[in-house]
Parts: sequence; C-alpha cells; structure tokens
Amino acid sequence: MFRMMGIAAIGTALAAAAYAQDVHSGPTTRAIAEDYLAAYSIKDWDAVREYYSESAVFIDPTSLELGFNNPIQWTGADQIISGIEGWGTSLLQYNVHNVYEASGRVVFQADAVVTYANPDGDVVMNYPITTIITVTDGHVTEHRDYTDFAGASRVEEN
Amino acid sequence: MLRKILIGLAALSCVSAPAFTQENMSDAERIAREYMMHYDALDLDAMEDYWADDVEFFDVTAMGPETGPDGIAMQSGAEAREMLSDFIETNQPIELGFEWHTIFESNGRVIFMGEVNALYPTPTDGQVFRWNAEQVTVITVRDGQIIRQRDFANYANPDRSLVRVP
Repeated sequence: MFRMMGIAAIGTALAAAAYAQDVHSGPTTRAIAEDYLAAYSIKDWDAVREYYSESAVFIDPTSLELGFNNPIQWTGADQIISGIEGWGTSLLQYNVHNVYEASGRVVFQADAVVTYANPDGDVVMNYPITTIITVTDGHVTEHRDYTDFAGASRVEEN
Repeated sequence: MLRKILIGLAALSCVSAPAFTQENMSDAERIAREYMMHYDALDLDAMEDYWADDVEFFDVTAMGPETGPDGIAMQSGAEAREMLSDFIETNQPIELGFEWHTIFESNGRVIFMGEVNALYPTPTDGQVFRWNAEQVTVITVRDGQIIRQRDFANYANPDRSLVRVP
C-alpha cells in the first residue's frame, strides 16, 4: 500500500490515478461485481452461474465459527451454489456502507441482512461483513467474505 | 443444522453485547488492535515484535507502474520492513490516521473496516497533505503472533487534499 500512497505524496498522484483508471480500474469491473452481488442476494442462481469463471472460488476464512471442520472454500459454480443453498437462507441482502474498486477487486463494507425461512416465521439476522469480489476478464474469479458471525444481531420485524 | 448454529451464534452475540470491552475481547483481537496502533504510527520496531517468523503480507488492491495485477505480496518480515523503511524515508509520513468504524474477530482473523487518512508534511507551515481512502485490513493471529496481514484499499480513487493543522 505504501508505494501508492508514496506516489501520491510526492506529487505525481494525478498520473498515478490516470494509470489506475486506464490499466486496472474502470466502471465495468465494479458494475460486474455489483450486478453479481445483486443476483447473489436474491439467489438468482442462473444469473450467478453466468458470472462465475470455470475455476471461481468462494472463500470465507472466518467461517470456522460455524462448526465446519475447515473454513469455507468452494470451487466452481456447482460447488459454490450447492454450498450456499446449504445455509437454508431465503434472502442474502446487502446493506452496503462503502464500495470501492482497485486492481480488479471490488470491496464491499457492508451488513449482510440474511433471512432464514422458518415454519414459525422468518428469522432475519444482520451480519457485519466485508466482501471482496475479484473480476478477471469479465468474470467473477473469487468471492471472499469476512463475516462477523459472533457479532450478528437479530433484526426485529414489524 | 447450519441454520440452527447461525441463529444460536446470533442469539449469543445479543447476550454478550457490547462487543468491545477488555473483558470479552479475544486475545487475537487485542493483539491485532495493539498492532494496528503501531501500524498507524509506523513504529516499525513495535510492529516487528508482533510478527511471526513466517509472517506474510498481501495487498491485492495495490496498483502502480511497478505493480502487477496481483498487487503486492511479501513473504517475510524483513521484506516488509524494507518497504516500510523506504516509504518512511522517502515520504516522511506523520501518521496513517486509520479510522475504523467496524472491528471484529472470527476464527483468528481480525477485520478492520474503515479508512486511512495518511498525513504528510508540506513546505507550508501549518499545512499538511492528506491522502484519504477507504480501507479494510485483515490480521490473522495464531499462537499470539501475527502470521498474515491483508490490506484492501481504494487506491484507484483516493481523496487528496491540503489541510490546515488543527
């Protein structure tokens, strides 16, 4: 990180920003990530599948808190979608506080508002989350979550 | 089953709130918070005390003419120290000025969500240069030492300004 901040500090920031826009950055990458996350949020798996590259990975290093033997690391659309379906959620909405993109990675600082369908009524949980979507050649190659499972709170519905 | 675990964890968190007191903070979070204070001040000697022998550093969001598409990866503390030392010597930063709105720990990963407000001196008395950008830092702690640091910052669109020293 320091190299880039250093460039800014010594007065060539505009050139560096232009380089970033031309080479690594651009609206397409961010738009792809946002559209993917929108489809993911409503579990539109046909649409989600179209975004994934063949070797796409879904990672959550924080997920050991859930009682898995290993943190989540799924590869390929089939394994990823099957894994997410195993959560038993009906909605995975994002309340995004900040979103930014650099070097093909789109970072969402957010709360994930997750709805679990229960016979006795839906249960809605709020999880603070950072989600980082890597986009390469127009496809999502990595979905990386860092989730505050222990800090989740239940959302009371009206 | 998984749904029950998720709901159970959420209920537990409601009981144990507020989150950020010394009493209920994990060792990993305490260590990471201490470390990030030294990182903010760019106190290299203090930072080094927290690094494991095989500490790694990654910043996939880093960009620039000399940086490839996978950003920066450093496989040792010595390599990180050299980069930090060069940065400090070249730019004389005053502080990194981290402001975190959310900090949490899960599975030994401590996540800091917020922004960086790096301040640099300028030739004008009473004025500094501020480089502000959103940032997430993930510190992995194992056996009381930091084994991995991942930074994700908004290098593409930072806010740069000259500001008066309060």
